[in-house]
Parts: sequence; structure tokens; C-alpha cells
Amino acid sequence: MFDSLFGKLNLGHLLFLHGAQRCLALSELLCVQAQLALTEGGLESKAIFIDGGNTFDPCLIAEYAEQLSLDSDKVLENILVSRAFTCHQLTSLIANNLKPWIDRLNIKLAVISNILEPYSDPDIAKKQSLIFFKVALNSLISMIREKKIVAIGTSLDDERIRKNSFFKQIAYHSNIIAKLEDHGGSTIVILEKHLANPPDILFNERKRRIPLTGAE
Amino acid sequence: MPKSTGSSKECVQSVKGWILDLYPKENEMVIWIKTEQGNTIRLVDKWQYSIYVSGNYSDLIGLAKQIPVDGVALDEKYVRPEDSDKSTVLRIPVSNSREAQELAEKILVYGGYKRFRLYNVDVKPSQMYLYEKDIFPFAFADVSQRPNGLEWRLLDSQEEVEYKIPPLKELTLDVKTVSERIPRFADEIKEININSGGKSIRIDSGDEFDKLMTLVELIRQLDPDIIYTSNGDEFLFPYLAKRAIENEVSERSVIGRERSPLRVSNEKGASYVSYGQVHYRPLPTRLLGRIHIDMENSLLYCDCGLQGLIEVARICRIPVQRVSNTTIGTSMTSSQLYHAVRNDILIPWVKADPEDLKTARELLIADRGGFYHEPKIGIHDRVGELDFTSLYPMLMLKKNLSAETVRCKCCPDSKERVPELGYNICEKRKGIVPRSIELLLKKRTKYKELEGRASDPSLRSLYEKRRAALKWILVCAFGYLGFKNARFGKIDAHIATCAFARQTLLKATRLAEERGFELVHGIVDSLWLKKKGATENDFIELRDEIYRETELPISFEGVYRWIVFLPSETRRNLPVLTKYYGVFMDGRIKARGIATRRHDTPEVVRKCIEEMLKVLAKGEDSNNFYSRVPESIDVLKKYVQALKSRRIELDDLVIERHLSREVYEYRHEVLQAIAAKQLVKEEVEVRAGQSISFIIINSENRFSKNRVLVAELVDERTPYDVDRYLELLFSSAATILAPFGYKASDLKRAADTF
Repeated sequence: MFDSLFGKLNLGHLLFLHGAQRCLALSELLCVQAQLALTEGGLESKAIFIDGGNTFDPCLIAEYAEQLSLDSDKVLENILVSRAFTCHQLTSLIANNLKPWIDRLNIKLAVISNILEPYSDPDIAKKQSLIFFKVALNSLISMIREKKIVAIGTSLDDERIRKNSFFKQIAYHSNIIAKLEDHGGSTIVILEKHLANPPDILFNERKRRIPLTGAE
Repeated sequence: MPKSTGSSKECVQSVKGWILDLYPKENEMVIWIKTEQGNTIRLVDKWQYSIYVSGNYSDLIGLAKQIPVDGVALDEKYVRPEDSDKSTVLRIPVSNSREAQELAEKILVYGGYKRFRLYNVDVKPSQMYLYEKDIFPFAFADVSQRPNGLEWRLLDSQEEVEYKIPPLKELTLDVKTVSERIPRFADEIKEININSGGKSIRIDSGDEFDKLMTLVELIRQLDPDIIYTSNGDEFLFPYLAKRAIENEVSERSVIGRERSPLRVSNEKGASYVSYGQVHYRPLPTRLLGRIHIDMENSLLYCDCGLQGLIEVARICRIPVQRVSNTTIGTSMTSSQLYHAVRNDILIPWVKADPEDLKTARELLIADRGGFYHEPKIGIHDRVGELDFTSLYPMLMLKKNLSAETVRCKCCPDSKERVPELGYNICEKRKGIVPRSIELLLKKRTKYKELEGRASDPSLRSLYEKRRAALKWILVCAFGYLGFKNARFGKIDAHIATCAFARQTLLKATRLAEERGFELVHGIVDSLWLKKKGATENDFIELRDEIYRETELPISFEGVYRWIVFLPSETRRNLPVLTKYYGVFMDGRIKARGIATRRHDTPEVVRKCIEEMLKVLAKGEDSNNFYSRVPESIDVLKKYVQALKSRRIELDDLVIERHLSREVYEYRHEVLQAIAAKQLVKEEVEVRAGQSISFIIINSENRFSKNRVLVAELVDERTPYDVDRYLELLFSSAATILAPFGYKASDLKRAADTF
């Protein structure tokens, strides 16, 4: 399903999912799929989920595991979670903690959920949060390349977020960008950028209407 | 020579008195002392505070060379509360908070936001002075001038519960503008009213210049210690400052004891989110040397009065004026900061330590909140209620739960383990959080005892207010363990506290069941139990056994004649955990989650439901309750008729609602947004988190602006929407009668026959 949605995603790439709530669910689903064998489209790897929005739902993971006929306890054991409640914590997790964890656990997939939200905290000076974001993003990009992992960033957004510089920076560095829009019972995936295209241009929307319910 | 001036002009070598106020001024701390004779003395202590930087040793040396500040030196401190050894850090003296902030930002940039961590940057200098000198506001002390500064000798103790407060000169200040409608900054002053010691003074003669100057002179003569205002932070003082500018007397508009005139700030108040609700805090006006209490904007003052403010100031070591205009969390944090400073632990500028990595399975087990047992919807006879007293703070203290003690690195084999999760808890050190709440818990228990023993009502009220203030702080202490900006909080400690609390409630439930009790309802720290034929004594014996087994204080609230657990408004078959009402054997009514407890209920509805409950409360048991229902509906009829014949006072129709967002962010024309827009049209600044009061005048009007009228514009000619208020009445009445088959629509239909 993943390849049919986004095309092929290689190790060393950053995928950025934004838009509707469903992108959070999709990132959790990918944490389950990452545990599958290579022959089954997985990465044969544990996953790390860095949660910037306190949205991680272990019950949903268990549900996905059952739908894929996997042992839900084992799947839950193979996903490592750490929540960040401030932009400083998120920066510290990405810049300082992530690399040793990837080394120690031989991780191939890292999800950074709600990656933009902690940096938009009105309590933090804009200038400071921009710099912290840059520190976090640069660390993430170099780590993805060095460690050859797949990283997924997610963000729930509205129209305003596209204009902010956090979005522009992550968009520039992402290899694939997909926007998810809820329409009734189905979700539209808009592929906004792909490896095959120039890295700094968001190309015309390519829409695929797919029903994304449960673990589909 | 001592550098002291003030109301009493003589210089002093030594003085005894109470610490009234303190604030920094250019490398000095100014302290106002209230003496036993009633004089107020200004003392000045040469004192400077420092910020600290941690990082690689050579980076610190390099940084030190770059900072052109005298007194920069290496020091040894604990950079994290869990550290076993001190680290070498750079100490940089600073003159004021702004300099601290600016320097800290420069250091971060210099270090590429990676090489350095900063500490003690945003701690208020007045608080840091209190921590370092080990003194507290309203402490009775003997202070002497020594060559190297003031020397403090406390003649008081934070533990004291019967402490003396000096006689304070209090004054209430109010200003009226010439505007008949909503007052604006551009309006001239009509009159200024001062109430001091039961004497009222009205300043209404002369022009605006005269009025302002008379006010300044009167304040100087009366020399109050406390000035009370209504909305002084949001309007009164900023307004006086603007009028002073208009009249070109800005520099003479001195209201505090220091010669520091009122200023118009360019900064705005702040909207913030607490427990999912948006609140607004206006920018506070500090009167140096006095205490300004804005009675409308001080939650703690509203609930606990001046006594509560002083109690919190003393125990949390934070000036009274700041206690009155800051959040309870800030006060609570201050007591943690004190313990950190006294133990050489640095206070991080930003909280960067994230949650420990855990598996998703672990998170599933860990992140489950408190204990609850859903009640059965409907009426229950002879149910007893047991409540654990300050359960969460008590567990934090007894189990040593703090950011640095849960999953500490120094005691991996600790015998102390978090239930269900197995996390180790430090055995080597007591955490900052338990240390900071120990005295709070001790004093709260003591005040409760004193309150029970006191026969004098004013004394009882005093203890009650102090106890209530401490309760606020304790409630906050648990919430802050998981708060994103808490300096010494960590989500793992929050999770651990919840796990211990669930274990405690489960244990208590098992003990009750072993004695033949049935659990009717349970939530967080309370249990509702029943047993056929059980007497009050049976409940008391059970309480005592639970106390013996858990070693946690638990109180028996009483036995209900009957108690009604209510369903959800939208899903009638689902109970709501926090929605119930009942009457104890002694006739006390207890209600939660219904109209009488909601802040947005108009008085007319509140009064009606309260009266209905009083009628129902006459029922001795469920059978008798049912027979009272028609009588309670008669109460409803009375209010319906009063509404229909427009005999309700307009004040009783006012609805108060919070703005959950900025006015321009509202997409739908909800009533509070319409009312807020009316205020904006009147040039009043409205911010998210503020409360808006209004009357519904015509909820169906096709033009939204005509649906409500903001309370500030209401006059005796204002009409009201009878049908809409009837709906509110029926809906609230139907809520309490829902388990017995009543719906709002039935009551509305029946109303036509009333």
C-alpha cells in the first residue's frame, strides 16, 4: 500500500506527511509495517516514535497489528516512544538522543510526529524557536543520510502552516511530501513532492482518492 | 553606615519587623520592613545575582574570555538534580532580569545552541534573594546592617501556624470616568474614590490635573501598605497612567512608596491554557513598597483572601504582590526553586530533558491516569463516601516521586518500585518535589485540626483560608509533575504517581469488599460504598482499616440518605463520573457537575435548581425522594412563570462565558463571540481567556449582533429572550431528573400548561 501511495521510499530518505489527522494514524501504521520482513515490504526493524504532540496511540498500533495478523504485544514492544512537550525537548531528542538510540537498537525507521507544533509555541520567542528548529532539522537530515534510515515527519496543519518558515524548511529537505485531506469517509492523498522531481520545487498536486479506514 | 531611608527617615543599624515587600534596583535589593511600632522602613542591601553556564570545560574558559563582565568565575554546582557530583560551571553576575535574558541569548548563539546550557536565567531576583538569605515574605526578623550588607536573623518560622501579621494599613481605590457607558482610556476622570479605615474620600473637584495630584498626595499621606482595586491591572492603573500623560504629570504620578511613577506598558497581558481552558492574565501593576491586590484578577485572593495570599507568600517564598497576580503554579514552583538553590542545584532556563524512552507496550500500561469505577445511573440509598486526603501529594511525598528520583541512574536495584511498571525509585536522595510539599502537607493537616478545634468563627475562618490556599498549591504540585514547563517535573514521575494512586484505590476497594461493602462509584481519590444495614460506625471502622493498611490519611465524608448519579447529556445510557448530587444524613447537599456548579449558569437557573434540590433533599430515602419530585417541579413552574411574566431581575439573567480564542478567530457566531464583538466595537480590548458577560435578547434574530447584549451595555430597557432562558431552565432541570425519565422537551411541553 505504501509504495502505491508514495512511490518507492529508500533508506536515507525523509518523508513528510501533513494535513489531516489521518497522517498521524498513517505514521503509526508505518511503524507496524516496518517490522515486516523485507520480502513483505517491511524493513525488518524496530521503530522509534518521537512524539511532539502527545498523540501516539498504542491501542491503534495493537489494532493495526491484529489486522496484519501480527502478535500485537510483540509489535508494541518493537516500537520505542519518547514524548516531547516543548521545542527544547524535541530538539534535544532529535539532536542528542536519536543517534545513540538508532545505533543501539539498529533502527531503520524513525517517526517524528507533530514535528512543527512544539516550535510554534507562543511562549517561545519566534527567533529562538526558528534556530532550535534549524538545529533539530539539520541533525535529523545528517543522521538520515549517515545512518541510512527512513524518517517520517508529520504535522497536522491548516492553511496558515504552509506559509511559516518551519514548513518551508522541512519541505525543502524532504524527499517526499504528501498532504492528507479528509473528505467524508475517505482521505485524499496529495503527493506534493517526490524524489524524481527537483528537490526545491513542490510540483503540481497529484491526487489519489483512497479510502483510508482502520488499517487499510 | 546603613543605607536605609523610607517612611521613617532615620538611619538604622538594626531593626525588627516583618518583610513587607522587596524588589531589585541596580545591583541592590530594596526591602520594606513593617516594624512592631507600625512604621515602614526601607532597607537596601548590596546584592547581585548570577546566571550560570554549563558545558565543556575548554568551551567555558573560551566563553569566560568573551564576557566583559566583572566577577565572572568558575564555580561548582549540580547541573541536574539527579547528579551525584557537582560540575564545573561558569558564574556570571548580572544587574537585572533583562540583562540576564539578553546575555543568556547571546551565549546560546555563541555556542551554536548546542555547546552551552543556561541556568538561573529567569528566576525573579526578589525570589532568589529570599532563597539565598533563607528568609520569606511576612517573616518577622531582626535585620542588621553589616559592612558587607544586611544580616538577617529570623525570629519566625515557616512551620509556624499561629504566626502574627502586623497591622496593615489598607485602602480601596476606585476611579469613575466621565463615560456613561463603557469606560475608555480616552475618557477624562470623573471622580476618584478612596476608602481607608472605613472612611470614604471622594476626589471630584477641580480639573483632571487637580484630581490626579490630589490622589498622589492623599496616597502619600495615608501611606497604605495594601491597595485593593477592581480591575486595577487591566484598567485602573493603566488608565491613571494614561491620564497622567495627557495632563503632563506622568513623572509625578507616584502611587507606590518608591519614587517610581505609573507607567504605560507596551506589553500586553497573556492568554494561556490550563487544563484545556484558555485563561487571560492582564499585565500586573506593581506598586513598589506597597501591595497591590486586583480583586478581580486574583484567583487566590478571591478564594482565600489576604490570609491565603500571605500564607502562600510565606511558604513558597514569593512576594505577596506577585502571589496575588501570578498563577498558583508559579507560587508552587517557587518553593521547589528554593530547595534547589539551597542544595546547590541549578535551575534550568529551559526544560530540555525529554521523557525516557519506553516501548509502546509500556506506554499502554503506564499512561492510564487515575482510578475510576463507573457508577450505576440513578438513585442509591445509604451510600457512604470515603475520600483520601491530598492523596497525590501524599504519595509524592511518601514514595519520593520527583523527576530525578523516578528511574534514577543511581539506584537501579532499588527496592522501591512503581506498581505495574516496575520503575526504580531513588533510595539515596529525597527529591525536590517531595521536599517542597512536605511542609505544605504538614501545615494543611495542622490547620485542619485547628479549624476543627477553634470556637471563635473568625479564627476558624482564618485557618480555613490558609488551609484552602495550601490546598490550591498541593493540587497544582501534582499537575506540575507533568507540565511541559515545570522545572523539576517529568512525565515519568507523573505516571508513577498515578500508578501508586490506582494501586491505593484498588487496595481500599478490596478491603471494603472484604467487609461486605459494594463499590457504587470510585474516582481518583474517592470511593462511594454501600452495605445493607451498615451504620456510620461501620464506615468509620472501614476508614480506619484503610488508613492502617495504606498509611495514607483518609476521611469519612458521611453517609448519604440518597445519592443520584447522572447520565451523559448525549448518551443517556452512559454515566458521567463527575456528575451527581445527594444529601447527607445531616441534611447537607453535595452536587457536582450540574448547573449549580457551572460558572456559565445564569443566576435564575442556579436559584431554581438549588431550590429544586432543597425540596428533593427533604426525602429521607429513594422512595420518599420520588414522592418529592412533583413538588420540585412546582419550583420549576414558579420560575417558568416568573420568566414568562418578565419578573426576573436582569442581573439574574447574565451569562458569563470564557473566550476560548481571540475574537477574530471565531468562525461561528457563538453568543460569547457576538458579545465580545460588541465590546470591540466600543473600543475595549478583548483577549482570549477573558470572561464575557451578556444577556440573551433574541437568540433567533437573523442578525447575529442582535442576539445578545454585552452586560456593560445593558440598561433597564434591555429586553430578554424568554424562550431561550426557559430552554436553559428546562435543560438544567431535566439534567437532575434525567434518571427518572424526564427530558427537557417533556418539561417544555408541560410548561405550556403551567
